[in-house]
Amino acid sequence: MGSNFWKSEHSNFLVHRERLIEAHKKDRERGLTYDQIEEVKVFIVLYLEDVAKNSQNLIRQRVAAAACMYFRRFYLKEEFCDYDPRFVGPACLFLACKAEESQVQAKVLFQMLRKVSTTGKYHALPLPDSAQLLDLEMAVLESLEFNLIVYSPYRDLVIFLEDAQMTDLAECAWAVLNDSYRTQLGLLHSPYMMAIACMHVASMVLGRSIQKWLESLTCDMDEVLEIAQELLRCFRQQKNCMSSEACNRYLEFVM
Amino acid sequence: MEKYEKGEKLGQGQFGVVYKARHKETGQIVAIKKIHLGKAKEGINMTALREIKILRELESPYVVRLLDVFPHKRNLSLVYEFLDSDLECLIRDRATIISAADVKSYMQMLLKGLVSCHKHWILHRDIKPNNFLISIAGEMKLADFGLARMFGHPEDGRFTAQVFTRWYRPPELLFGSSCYGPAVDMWAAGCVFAELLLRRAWFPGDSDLDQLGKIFQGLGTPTEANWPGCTSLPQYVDFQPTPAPPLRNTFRQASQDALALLAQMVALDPSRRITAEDALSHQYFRNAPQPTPPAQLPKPPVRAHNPLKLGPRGSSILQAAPAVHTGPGRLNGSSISGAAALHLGPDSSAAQNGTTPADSSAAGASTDGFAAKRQRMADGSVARNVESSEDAPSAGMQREPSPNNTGGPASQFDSREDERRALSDIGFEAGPRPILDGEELGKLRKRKLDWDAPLNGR
Repeated sequence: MGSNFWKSEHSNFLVHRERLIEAHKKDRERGLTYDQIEEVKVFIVLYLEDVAKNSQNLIRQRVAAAACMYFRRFYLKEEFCDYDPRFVGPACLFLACKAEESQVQAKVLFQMLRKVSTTGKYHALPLPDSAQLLDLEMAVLESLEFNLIVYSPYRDLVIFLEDAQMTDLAECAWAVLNDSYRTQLGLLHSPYMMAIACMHVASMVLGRSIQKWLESLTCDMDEVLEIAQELLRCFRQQKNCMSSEACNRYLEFVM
Repeated sequence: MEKYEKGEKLGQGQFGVVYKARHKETGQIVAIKKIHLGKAKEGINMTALREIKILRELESPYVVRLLDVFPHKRNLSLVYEFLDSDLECLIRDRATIISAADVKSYMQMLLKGLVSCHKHWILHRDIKPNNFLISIAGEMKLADFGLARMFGHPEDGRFTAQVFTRWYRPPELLFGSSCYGPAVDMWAAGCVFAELLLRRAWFPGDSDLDQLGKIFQGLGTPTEANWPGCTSLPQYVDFQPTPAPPLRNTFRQASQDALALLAQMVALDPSRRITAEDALSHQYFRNAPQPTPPAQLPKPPVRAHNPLKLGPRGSSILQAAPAVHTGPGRLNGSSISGAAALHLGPDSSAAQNGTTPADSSAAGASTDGFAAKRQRMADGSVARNVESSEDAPSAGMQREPSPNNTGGPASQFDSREDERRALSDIGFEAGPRPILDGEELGKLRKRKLDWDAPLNGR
């Protein structure tokens, strides 16, 4: 949320695809495939989003989005076998609440986690204890090298929607953007490209054309199309989210 | 931690201890704040996190640099560049003459620091003279981001009004506004400007109500005409209408353009207050005299309000110690004492606490007087560099008999009482500076945290 994204530490976290391929070396040696690793990550991200949704507005979407970014960034360097993602997720959320100026007490966070994980699809997920939460908070901070600012594409989206005079796309584009945190695209592309791609997807969904506006921009159209396709592909794939038992089973491989 | 050679303890904040240290390879002198997390139930505290988050992002020659952060056992260490003194010391030091050109130079650096914050959507929320650190080379940098926060996001919600030290708190916050922007920092900057001109605080209120009284006495009472909407602020109080006296009555020596800028910085209506960027292009900075180049600014005196801070005793050791070679030349001055401090045993540092006039004048007389003064500057003031925000206000408000005031013309003012008496002798009536002790302050901080959080997003 600073003034110049490219001078910000956030831009240093943008990586090339190769970096994603190199990640999780040990986990893969122990038998997990890329797809399975991604499946676990998506599951945890959904878990964090659901915790936020059930927090009675104590944790806002923006905080959950930051937590997801921390989670993804953390596993660029770290591995499931060293840090259990089922515990790292809540630690990211705990940290994001503070970094986004809406601190939630640890005990309140535990209540929320319990509420979400005792019922429904997260029922088999283990919860961290308080010492684990604090240790992992520190581990996340260290792994992120204490860079906590996450540029949010939401602001860009609002500006672009006004510029294109397409405010009727707002709701759909906003929803697409919310869902984009389930993908790893945020690690690969800058926030404003994400915002443009989300508008593009929204226009396809609603059958509107924003071609003219897109052409008036000086951004890389191929990148926009690539992001849009990736988003659509992920949404199709993730219709059937994994179960918490399956998540536990995968992680047993590497623990 | 292995990278640094730990030096003397500089001070103790609510969350940790501050040490002076030297980087083993580069020889750079730094200040390390250790934040103890041992039994904290809530993990890393907000103040530290804000400071880390924001200083990681801000890079400006006018903002203190956070060089490194690392965990060490169950502590978190924050490594800052080392600066010798601060603006409050300078303003309070009666021996120092601050010329009109010097004031302009300080204001320019101050505003540039604020511009970089506001450009990054950061509100500092604790602007006051002792949060502006001054290096031996005369550069002034903004420090202490423990109350700072980001603004400008559509979902921001409400902010707490419990920020700023009272004397620098803008009227809209005193009226309980929870929806504010960079103008709050500009008000405080205006108060610092006035303080540079007057050499005393402009509005030294001793309660929130008294603070408003003093402000309106100086600037006139607000009305719906000069500040639309003010009467509907949550804690608005009616004051007996008073017209604004001309600023000239208070600031007799100041130039016309300086007063014009000041008036715009302390406009009662925050929406009419000048922005930091516009202030920098104000006529004031273009007119003669030119701002003094930083290197030629008056050398800041020591700051030694913190009783834990160690003064320069055992000057023979100090002078015998070899100067450490540092990369950037501007650190040379501090590196001398830094190296010396690292060699001092516990005995000599324990003895440093009660420096008497005789001691320092002896030190000054024995060799080069300037060198000795430089030692004092370097040693006495360092804690301000990294004092956590939680102890900063108290450090700033206590006037204790301090080694820095010894041996010079300033020695006649070595207690608060003396200073006040001296001030009233020359026609100033400064109230006592409010003192907050650690415990009270802790409660205050806690309340602040509680306030910001639950108000958000509801």
